[in-house]
Amino acid sequence: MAEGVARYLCSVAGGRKLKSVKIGLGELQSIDEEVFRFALAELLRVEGCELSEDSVVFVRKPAAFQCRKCGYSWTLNEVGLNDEEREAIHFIPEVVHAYVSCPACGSRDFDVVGGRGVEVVEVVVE
Amino acid sequence: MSGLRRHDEDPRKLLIERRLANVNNVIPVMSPKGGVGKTLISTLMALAIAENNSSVGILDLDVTNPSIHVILNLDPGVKPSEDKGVIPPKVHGIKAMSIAYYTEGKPLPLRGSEITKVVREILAITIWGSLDYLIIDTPPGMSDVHLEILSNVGKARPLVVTTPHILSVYSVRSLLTILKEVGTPIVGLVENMSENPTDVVIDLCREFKIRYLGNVPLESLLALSVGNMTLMKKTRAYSRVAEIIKRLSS
Repeated sequence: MAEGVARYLCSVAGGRKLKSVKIGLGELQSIDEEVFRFALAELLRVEGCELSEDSVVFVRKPAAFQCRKCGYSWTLNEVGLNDEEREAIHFIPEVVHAYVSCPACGSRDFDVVGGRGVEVVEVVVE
Repeated sequence: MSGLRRHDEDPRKLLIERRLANVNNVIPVMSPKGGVGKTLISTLMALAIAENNSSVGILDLDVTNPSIHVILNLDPGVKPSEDKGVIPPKVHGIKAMSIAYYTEGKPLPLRGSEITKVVREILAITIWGSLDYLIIDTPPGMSDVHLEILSNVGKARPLVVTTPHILSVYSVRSLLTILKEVGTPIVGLVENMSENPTDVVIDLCREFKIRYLGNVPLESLLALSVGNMTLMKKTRAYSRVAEIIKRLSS
């Protein structure tokens, strides 16, 4: 994911200097902030587009769900996931539908309304 | 100084072409009609390519109903390894990638937008390395998976499968029309479940100016060979698909 973000940031910068970036980290992808920060800095350097590590701000986005059948809304705290399930969801967040169903009605037909994955929230270039 | 807010951009899209940069041929196997044998043809193709000492991967993008892992009889304990992405395990000489590695056989109902995200995620995270061929099994229809491939995999050259049945031919006509409209080069058409080439399918190929790659017979042994690659390679279907592969490579 860091590779995609690095490429994207460089394309936005378009040769100008990156000043700061804000990146949303969705709870479902269970990204380690410091590992991501380090990887991003390295990848940006490889792409020829530097940005100091302290200019990256992460915003944690909690996972949130809403049932399409009964309308109930819930968070990950309300359901139990073991480590293997969390790891599977880390790779492909949509597989959450295999492990989670609506606590109110049991339906797997729900929307992930927040906290899916990594997103670039803001880029500031000089 | 300028601040740019870009909620609509998806960084994963920038990775897809890079992940496929060293794959010479990307062949999505498509047919709008279900039950025409796309998955078995995909698997037979991959087996025949591997047997031919070419490097091959197979990607199951029938994400809500994956079955390549069942045909290949993948050991449930085998998972892709991780190193700056996901590296698919090699089975029967084929690098095999499927969402089934991550669902433990549980049902996975998904809405269209979620299917798009899954396809994008898998294409962005899977590290294929160098391959002569990547065969992509697709679900029936002409919707999210197919459109995502056509939009984001520039080197995709679909192979179309039909049976001689009039309903299948009717559906395939729509698919060919769409592919032609967007200028996607088509590898050719395979007539499956057919003892001999039929006029209706050959005429369709002529009409759309695409290659008729050959017919593949329907046989009970093929169904029995699911999960047993040794047996599968003894089927007439495998022999016919192997001939098609030789024709494609020549």
